[in-house]
Amino acid sequence: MPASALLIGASVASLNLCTDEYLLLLARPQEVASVSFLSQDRQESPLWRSARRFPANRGSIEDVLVRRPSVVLTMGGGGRATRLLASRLHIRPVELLSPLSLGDVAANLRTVAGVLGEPRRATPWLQELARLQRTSPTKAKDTLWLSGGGQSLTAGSIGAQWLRLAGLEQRPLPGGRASLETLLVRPPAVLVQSRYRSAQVSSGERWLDHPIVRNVRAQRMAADGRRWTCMGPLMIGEIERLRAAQR
Amino acid sequence: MTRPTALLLAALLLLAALHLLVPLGPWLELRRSDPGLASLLLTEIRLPRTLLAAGYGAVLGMTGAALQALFANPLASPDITGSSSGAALGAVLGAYWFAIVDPLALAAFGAGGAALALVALLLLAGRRSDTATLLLAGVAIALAAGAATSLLLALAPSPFAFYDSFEWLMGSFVDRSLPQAAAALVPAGLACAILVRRAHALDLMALGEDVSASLGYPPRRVAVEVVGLSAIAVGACVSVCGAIGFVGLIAPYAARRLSGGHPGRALVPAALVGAILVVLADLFVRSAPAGRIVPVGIVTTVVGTPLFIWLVVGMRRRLTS
Repeated sequence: MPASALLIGASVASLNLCTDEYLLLLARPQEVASVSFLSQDRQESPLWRSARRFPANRGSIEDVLVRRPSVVLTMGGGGRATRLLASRLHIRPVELLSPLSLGDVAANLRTVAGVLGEPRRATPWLQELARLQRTSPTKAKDTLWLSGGGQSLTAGSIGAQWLRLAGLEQRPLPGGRASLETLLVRPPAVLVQSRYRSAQVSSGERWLDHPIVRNVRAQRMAADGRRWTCMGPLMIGEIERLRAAQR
Repeated sequence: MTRPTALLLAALLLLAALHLLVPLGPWLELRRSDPGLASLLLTEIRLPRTLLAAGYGAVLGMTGAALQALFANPLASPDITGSSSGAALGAVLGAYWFAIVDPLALAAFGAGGAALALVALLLLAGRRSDTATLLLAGVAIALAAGAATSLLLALAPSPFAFYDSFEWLMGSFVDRSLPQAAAALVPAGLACAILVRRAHALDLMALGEDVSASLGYPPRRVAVEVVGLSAIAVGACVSVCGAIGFVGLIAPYAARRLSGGHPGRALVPAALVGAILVVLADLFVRSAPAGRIVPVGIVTTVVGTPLFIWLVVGMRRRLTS
């Protein structure tokens, strides 16, 4: 008997944009009790269409209680006692890792597939991740990943690890932020610019519209900023796209 | 108990009951389908939230009144004096650098941060400082603590620390547990109970330090006690619910009108007014539109800022007239 058969009726509520990603990618519709409202926003998640099929929550266990989930997925949560509350309400709490490495992403995939009763559901994603790691270019180009206001990635962070799989080496920056002076004096070979909420007016977007940023002499690539919020399995497609853009 | 105090208590109990039951729909739905779960919803999720909202509000009101009496200044309050910011700094240090999850240990970090901020205030401004010195010292400490908090979050091992802490530090009662409520409210309650016993000393200090000393209340000892007890109470609450501004300023102001200007007698009414204000603010937060999260601290700050400006303008007029 497959393990999933033992868990028929198991329903999972996700209380966080990043845990939503794993659930929406691995679960069957009948297994999803609720997802966070952020996932239903097209500007926050590429999975918004799929997410809108399910009841939304605001990250509180109270919001999902009427759906009577058997499992709640959480990640972080500041001062909240979600794990303890879920246990007291006879709901199994599962806390995913705030990913600091590609290994953490793989571990989260395995955890969620295990929660759904079918560990093999994670296999295609794990294989894709392993393939990307196996085929990672040996040489990497000097790169700056750039978001509103000059926000960038810390060298060695999970974002930089993903970027390296595309053959792009995030340059270390003081404070993880690029300055106009850096872009002018020492432009990178590749500039990966996030399109996160780029249609909205913000000081960060105004910074990106500065002539120095617009005219920086580098190969330019666009990043789907929504995928870089959680750095989860949706990054696999993003890295494929960045690889293709360099060919 | 005076009549206004009894009325305040009645209003608080009514609001607390409302806070516990609203929104009614999910509870009624669960009562039909799963009565056991419906009662767990009330006892495990909503009761800690109501207790924390009322308790934290009471702490802010009472400590605000005590600090105003001590500094003989209506602008002294846990947030204006920097103790809330200090408590947030302590809580962030504990949570994101020492990976502390135990509510009591986190409350101790918060209390430590608040105590450091208040000691710094005493050193910087002195106990009987003029308004400008007190405000400047408080603002400086709050800014320094805020900057240190941001730095700790920016350098924290988890890259998600900033996002993770946003709602918490701006004030939130969402998904708090009974052990968390106990970790915040037991030390805070004990500290407030001792503060109430210092009400007479605070009244005497309003008559002058020599009067207070001659009647057996050395001003330095009273000051240390009030500062220490306020730090414990505010720090424990901030570490669980984040910083909530302006309640410690507004509540004592209203309460002094009920106590005939006696700073000591204003402690209990200030606690009741503070509790009512925070419960009301959290009720407002619950009615925010779907897909929007409004921290409680934002609501109290929006309401409190005009009063703060009004107080400052009033003081300026008195000084120049």
